[in-house]
Amino acid sequence: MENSEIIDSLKSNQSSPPEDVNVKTGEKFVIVLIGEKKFALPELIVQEIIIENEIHYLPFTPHYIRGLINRQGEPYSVVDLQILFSNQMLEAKKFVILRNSVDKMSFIISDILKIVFINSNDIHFIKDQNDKDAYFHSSITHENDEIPVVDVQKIVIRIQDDLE
Amino acid sequence: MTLSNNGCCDFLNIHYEKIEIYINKSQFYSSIMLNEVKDSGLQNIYFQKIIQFGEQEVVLFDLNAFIHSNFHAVTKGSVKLCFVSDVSAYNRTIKEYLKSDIIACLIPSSSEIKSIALRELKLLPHVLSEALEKKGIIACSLCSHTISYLIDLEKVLSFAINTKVE
Repeated sequence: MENSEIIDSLKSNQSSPPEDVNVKTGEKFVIVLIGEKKFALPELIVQEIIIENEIHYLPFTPHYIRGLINRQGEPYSVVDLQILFSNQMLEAKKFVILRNSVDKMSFIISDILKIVFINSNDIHFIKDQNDKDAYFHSSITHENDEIPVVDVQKIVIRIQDDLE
Repeated sequence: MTLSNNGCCDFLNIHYEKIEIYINKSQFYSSIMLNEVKDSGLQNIYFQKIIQFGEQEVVLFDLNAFIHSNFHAVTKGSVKLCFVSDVSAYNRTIKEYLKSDIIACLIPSSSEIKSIALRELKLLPHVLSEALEKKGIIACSLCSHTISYLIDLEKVLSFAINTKVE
């Protein structure tokens, strides 16, 4: 069997991508700790949190992609947001698995803090972006903290640009 | 090569610490032990040697060094085995560089032929798969503390030739 046939066979066995999730920003968020900083993720895009998975090195990828982890036999890429945001590798053992069976992506995090309901008044969309907001589309106000909401699509676009 | 009745395919399984490399058995046709090597005159560090294969001198691709440096793989045991591939159907860049239709590839001696069920192989995450496929990584398999990468020899050769490693 030629490699092209193997690839075609694996692709035909792959499940179809899910319908677009209507991510209702401004409702529930998962607040995570990455290093010393808090970040928020829309609850709808978080599949699960897993702990203590070994990261397998994956060559030819940007430095903020730490490698692959094994989630139920499927390879998930591990994106280190701390490297992306501040060029420092995160020493941690928890992973947020994102709800997207096609992209199979996870973020490495220090801890998950809470899941909170945020009123729309406390959600602030970022209109004029500068470099430091490049990966966030909004922020939420919670217990006097202003917490940026990670824009996963921008992370994906950054990865695609760096791989070209 | 055809898929066997139980959905398995034969691969060359190259063993490293915590990493396994699979190469489709259809991508090589013979093997020899490393014999007297000479300089090839090529600058690329992966292609600097030639060995004797029958009555021919063929360029030796140091696949072990390529995997070691790119996959951060630690070699197990000696590195004295070579498999021989016909590159006549490969892209022009490879054939022009090698000036031959045959190449020998150096691998660890502990390598073996293994039958693997296709259901054990998984495509890489979509955002990465296209770019990695161009560099020769086309699928992987995860098992407890080990990851196995299925690599395509033609794409790996293209990438190695085009990488300035002198």
